[in-house]
Amino acid sequence: MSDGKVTLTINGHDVEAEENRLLIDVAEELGVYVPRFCYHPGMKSVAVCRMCLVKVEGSRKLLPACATPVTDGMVVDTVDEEAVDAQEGMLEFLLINHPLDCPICDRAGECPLQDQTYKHGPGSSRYIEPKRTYEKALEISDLVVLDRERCVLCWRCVRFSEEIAGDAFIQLIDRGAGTQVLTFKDDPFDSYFSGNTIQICPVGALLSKPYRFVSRPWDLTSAPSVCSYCAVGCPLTNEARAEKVVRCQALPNENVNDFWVCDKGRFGYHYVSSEERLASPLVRTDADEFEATSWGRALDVVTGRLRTARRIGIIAGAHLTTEDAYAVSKLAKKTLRTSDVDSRLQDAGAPYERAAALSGVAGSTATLNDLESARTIVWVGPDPKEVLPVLYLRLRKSVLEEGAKLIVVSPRRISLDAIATHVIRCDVGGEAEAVDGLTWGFDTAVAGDVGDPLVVCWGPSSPGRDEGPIVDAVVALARNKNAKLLVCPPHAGSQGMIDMGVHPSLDPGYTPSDSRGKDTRGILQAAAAGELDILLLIGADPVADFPDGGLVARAFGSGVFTVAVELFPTESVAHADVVFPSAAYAEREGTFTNLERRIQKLEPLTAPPGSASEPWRICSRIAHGLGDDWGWAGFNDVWTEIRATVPTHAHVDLTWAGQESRPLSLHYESPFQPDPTHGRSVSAGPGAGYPKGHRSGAPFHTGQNWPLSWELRGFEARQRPGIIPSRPPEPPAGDDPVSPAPAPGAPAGDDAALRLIPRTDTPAGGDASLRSGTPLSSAFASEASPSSAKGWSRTGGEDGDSPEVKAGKSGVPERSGESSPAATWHSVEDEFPSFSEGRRSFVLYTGRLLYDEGAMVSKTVALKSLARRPFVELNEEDAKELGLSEGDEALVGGNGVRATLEVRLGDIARGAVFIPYDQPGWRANSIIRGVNPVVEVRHP
Amino acid sequence: MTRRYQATGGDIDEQNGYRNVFDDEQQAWADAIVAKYPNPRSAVLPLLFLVQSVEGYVTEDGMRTVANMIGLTPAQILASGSFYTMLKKQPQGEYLISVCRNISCTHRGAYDVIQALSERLGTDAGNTTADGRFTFETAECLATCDGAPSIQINYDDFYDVTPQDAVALVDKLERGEEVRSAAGERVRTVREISFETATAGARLPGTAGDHRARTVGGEAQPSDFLPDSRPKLSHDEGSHSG
Repeated sequence: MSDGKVTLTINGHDVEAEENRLLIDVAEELGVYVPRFCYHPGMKSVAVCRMCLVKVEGSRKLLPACATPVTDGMVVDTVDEEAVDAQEGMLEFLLINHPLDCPICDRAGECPLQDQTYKHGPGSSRYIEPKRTYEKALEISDLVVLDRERCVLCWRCVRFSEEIAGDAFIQLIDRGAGTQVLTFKDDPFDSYFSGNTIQICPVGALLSKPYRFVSRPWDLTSAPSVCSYCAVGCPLTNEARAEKVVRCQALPNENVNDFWVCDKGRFGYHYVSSEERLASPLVRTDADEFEATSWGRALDVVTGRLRTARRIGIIAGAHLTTEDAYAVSKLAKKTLRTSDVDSRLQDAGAPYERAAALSGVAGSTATLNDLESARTIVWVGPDPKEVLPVLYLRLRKSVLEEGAKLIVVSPRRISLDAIATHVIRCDVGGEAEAVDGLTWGFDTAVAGDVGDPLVVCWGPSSPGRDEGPIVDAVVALARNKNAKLLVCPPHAGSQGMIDMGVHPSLDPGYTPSDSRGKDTRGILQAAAAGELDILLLIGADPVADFPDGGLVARAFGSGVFTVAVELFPTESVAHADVVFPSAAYAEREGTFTNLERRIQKLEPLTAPPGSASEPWRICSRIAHGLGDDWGWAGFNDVWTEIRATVPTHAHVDLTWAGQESRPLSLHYESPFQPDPTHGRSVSAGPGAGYPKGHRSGAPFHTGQNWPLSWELRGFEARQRPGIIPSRPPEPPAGDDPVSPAPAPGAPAGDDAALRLIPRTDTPAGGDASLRSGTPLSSAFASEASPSSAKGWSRTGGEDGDSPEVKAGKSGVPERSGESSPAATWHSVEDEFPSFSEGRRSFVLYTGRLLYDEGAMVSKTVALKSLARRPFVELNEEDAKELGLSEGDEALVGGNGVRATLEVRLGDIARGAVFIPYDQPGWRANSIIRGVNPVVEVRHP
Repeated sequence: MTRRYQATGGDIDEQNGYRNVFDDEQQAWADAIVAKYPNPRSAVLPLLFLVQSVEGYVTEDGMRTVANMIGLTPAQILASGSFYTMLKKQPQGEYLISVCRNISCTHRGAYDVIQALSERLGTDAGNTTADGRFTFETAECLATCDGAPSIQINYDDFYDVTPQDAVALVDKLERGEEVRSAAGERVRTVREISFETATAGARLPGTAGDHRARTVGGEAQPSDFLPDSRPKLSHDEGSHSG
């Protein structure tokens, strides 16, 4: 047919389908489930298991449905006697060598081999000879256990690790009669995505080491959730046994994660049930010790302090949910009437608000799906494989499968270099110049590949440096090339924080604050100077995270009264005077807003320890203690208020009903599909032989106690696509679309400054006071008229801007004092009295690795052991000048601190060193003082 | 068995130190082999033969060397290489003696040959002699039933082999004397034939036009095992117990 559609007949039913789709998918959407082992909708077909053989009229032989595209006029019978005979035969063959050790197999009860044997198998085997045996249960990594005897050679794990992850460390070897799945010698299965092979294994051959022998699937309760680590926000199911989270699996959502999740997300749940969790409020006694106390008393202490405090700073962590963010924002800006609130710790130098200059959204205008339709992708940021692993998979897919061109701008080799069309290796801080080159076509060889549709990705890469010029360049590129922008903040809650106004210059919904408050650095500086009466840390651990160890030490050394809301007794908590225990992501309702601003919901599964509570509730109770009753009894009350007061979120519907979302094009398993053939006879249709209400076509419910193959959970994922809130209207065409970015470092006049996009209309309840073309800097200044339907405008209690943080002429905040590298350098001089030949100063370019010493990872035993020891990466030439070579130890110093680190030679810009930010035993922030830090490296 | 490691996200260079098995000349050949193909990964089999020519068999370091050269993981190299029986994963003798034990050869005395070789070499089939010179294996059909009992030494055929013939062949090889196959080819060592297989069609830079071709043993010379003499009835008499 001309419209790309074909009509075919499956089991007597006429179906219209798009050309070139696979028969197995089309049949499934009709409600006809063809058994399969090797086929997986997230990967290419290989047709090796031969389980999906069906009869096609006109074909001499049976055809594998997973490798047969539908054609016009095709007549298919999946339940033909010949096809059923072949399917039964295949299963009998697969079971020849499969040990029937289901009673001790983790997979039993949710095993595709078990299920399909039950449904499509012969019932008994004629095979009586000995089965093949192997050494049992090889631990091929710290996370994955391999039982080769159970393997049915479906290639799924091999294909996943080659095709999807690009880490081909598990293979079928000794191919032939003795084929077995194995890694190379004693090499570990060293992939950040290895856990996915466990989930897609159709038998119990690949097993999760932390979950092994922990539970039977029918003893698990489960709840859909969202990963609490990075900003990609992969949907997950958490599963618990006896009120303890014991497993976590990916939920498929083709808009977000396809079918995958990284190992940090999959195995990083242990912290929830850690013994170290805080379980009751703590108050510091006169004897300087923590004492467990009641909520009432702890709240009294805090509210008593807050009543008299004039100078309040609030730092929130980026692992909080969107509701928490709203509560923090409301507590700060409405109840306490301060804009001194920020959520940026590791990304302290990232001015997300400047992205609003593009379209009014302080965040992404692109979605993850836009990556796949892009012709060119520009990446300016950290290594996504380390920071946003599933985004790396999406980028990889866009480049390798969809043919997008990828331009990587980075001072250091990152994982994307291997698949990039162009790699621009710039100096640290030279990213802005490189991006300008793309904007204005200086480098014609590279700029020539900048094509439409274009997605420009930016994420804050090196904690401790000012990303401002880079953001300006990226925004200018996006504006000039009419590109979409993907802003990649680091953590699960980062975007929600910005959306909800936990930001010194943005109120909820990206409306500019009436006055610019102090950012994280400003708050800590005020604390260090003794100019802060009370510091609230809500899920924030500046001691570990803030990229200026010296400032943090002085801030807490000042003895500022500190209140902490936390999961764990972190190092920051140790400085607190009052501590409230916080509920973790698996213990609460909530939403996370991911980097494409998609809101996805968390459901509670287990009870929090002791009296731990959600941060929004704690904020509400503090406000109540101050006489400001928010009237929130539950999660829905918070959202009712968010919908009413945050214009961008007015239409967010947490039931997810009625959303417009593309359905998954590939439905993994059909039993939950409405059966279009209902009432007619489809003899091998789904659900036959399964307990009613489970696989019979009725939807299942969260927490249902029934074993489910993970594939079946895909149904739930399809019901939970998340939602991307509407954003402010697009800029009118007349607004100079090609106004250049200010040259890096050069002061920009008002005419050249980035402009906020004017509102064409005034959403109810929103601040809409910006004039067209108002330069960003003045928009943040208090001259903007403080109209506010929310009543959040400050009428008093202003402390004015921090003395250290001013809006400069160019609109770029200028920080005085210790921000200059020179100042940092001088402090190091004192620590290194001997001036040896090989001494040199380097720009510090740091970045996080996937497994680090973060509070959550380090409380997760399985992942803690994987974290690498800290090292210093140097350019080969620089190392030669210093007399250092690979594996040597080097002395690294800065901020009055020195450390001995192992040297690695790497592809990094000269004059720069890379040190991972937070690895076991040593934190890089301890050698950072000020912005854009410089460190010294020398031979020990 | 637990494999303790620090996760690198698949950065092979960081995970495994290995010994590059190629010296400069061998590396030049390896580069020449890779240059034959539009995609480097196509060179995996000839490179593994080159490893075998250097190491005597396909060693772990050899597989890592190849993996690193052509941008695959060692696991992928193993997956490809382990399919091919001529790529040896275990230390191998200089000469591989394969005795057919299929139906024709068995009928014509193959097991006498096997027994004689076992005694001569002091090892059972499937093993390598202590001095590392001979590996002795039984084989399924070598496709020369008309020359039964048939053996191969490093894949060169010998027909109508008596136990005495087999022992005499071993004696000659052990003394370093030249042995010619039924086709008149000089029997060469595993390393030699591996090198020839690896470099067939490759050319070192600077050697204009001189593609190496598989020479199939060079000039044929008279052999005790000439194909035109089979069946050699004289051998049948007395030596085969039937």
